[in-house]
Amino acid sequence: MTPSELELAVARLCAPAGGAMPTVRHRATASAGATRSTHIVDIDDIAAVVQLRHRESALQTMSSTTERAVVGAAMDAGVPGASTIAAGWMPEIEADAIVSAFLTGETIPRRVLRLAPPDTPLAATLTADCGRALAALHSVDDSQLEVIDELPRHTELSYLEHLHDLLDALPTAHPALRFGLAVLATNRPEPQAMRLVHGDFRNGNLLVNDGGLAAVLDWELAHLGNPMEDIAWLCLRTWRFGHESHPVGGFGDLGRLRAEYEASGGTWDADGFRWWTIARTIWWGAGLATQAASFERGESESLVHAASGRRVVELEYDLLNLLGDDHGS
Amino acid sequence: MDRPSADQLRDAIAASRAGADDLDADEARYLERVASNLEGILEREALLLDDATAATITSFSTLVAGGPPDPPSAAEDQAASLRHTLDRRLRDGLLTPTDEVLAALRDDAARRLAIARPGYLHPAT
Repeated sequence: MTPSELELAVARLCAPAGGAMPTVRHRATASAGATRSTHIVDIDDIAAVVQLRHRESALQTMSSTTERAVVGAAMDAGVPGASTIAAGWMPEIEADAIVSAFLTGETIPRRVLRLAPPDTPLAATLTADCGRALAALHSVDDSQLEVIDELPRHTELSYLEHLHDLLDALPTAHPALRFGLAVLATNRPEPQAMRLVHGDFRNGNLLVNDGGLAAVLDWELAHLGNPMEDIAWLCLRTWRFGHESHPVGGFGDLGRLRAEYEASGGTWDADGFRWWTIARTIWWGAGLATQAASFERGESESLVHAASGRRVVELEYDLLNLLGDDHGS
Repeated sequence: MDRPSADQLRDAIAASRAGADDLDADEARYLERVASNLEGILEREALLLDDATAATITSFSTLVAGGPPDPPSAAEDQAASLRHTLDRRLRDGLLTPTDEVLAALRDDAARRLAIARPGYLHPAT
């Protein structure tokens, strides 16, 4: 795909029905992989971000039109986000695209942590912003989503089955992760009302500037489920990047996040938070093992995927420490 | 004990470095950091892996005692086989997740982490 092919495809996608095509200029490629890429463009001199999922990846993830509806519902509820300009399939370049407003800020975790180091006013603001954003997001139920039938639903039971399936599909055995599943099976939290869950709300998908949280990005894993899934994921050790005593993304403390979440209307469920912390630790351990397996099978040439196999033990170690003596034996 | 194998990792590191000129500076720096970390892991594996594997075989053998005996094999194969047996028994409810199992798994994880990322060896708060 050349820049001019992308410009034409974006212009067609963004053209109003029966109206003239805008002028599109490709400014930069922010990231480019085999299955997805992100580009910065000007559309009639207004900066925008184009995220492309190429054919194979597009079939495996949420469609851009569904993602647009999800982002719209979340933003209507008060979640900071990047407004969607257009979304849809681009036949010219065989990619599913979502075109969003360009916002300035940092997303790379280590840069976020340099901008908002722990125990600074900006880190406190960012933590509170996350609490408010999560409460707003989790106020969205299935009555507020037009695309409800297209979103997966995660119950604790279905998620346990999903995790077993992931482990069963691996070429390597991980008894530590399986131990965690055995504990989860006997300690399921009380069922909660299903709410919109981002699915990947963590340091890395948060656009941060000197005012705090500017936008929540990357909604393709959104689904309906227990809100504690999002909060647990945000607080996993893996996303702290060495700032161990600041569970919220390495920049914030849990008390502040919880206080702001509850003050903004969220309902905190400690049992659910613990259950989902364990479940999501298992999921990421299995995810890293899956990446390593894809390298071994020759489906990926990524050095990062090759290295993932040596990182699974980090998640196993975290999991076994989380379980401690409280595993129902 | 963990996969891909050391040889596969060495090949992947070499391939990544050979392609570094085609990348932008940030990405090249990031991949070099990954490669350098992997080289450190491989060096520690050469020093520590045999002892770690032997300790895991001893520990896991106790947990699965009473099950069908495994055929004699190389230490790494034997450890993988024991891991597989433990995994299946936990999955099928044939092994209860007791303190003893937890302790054995935690010790195994600590030994492997001492090789993969020694700086990570303390519980998060």
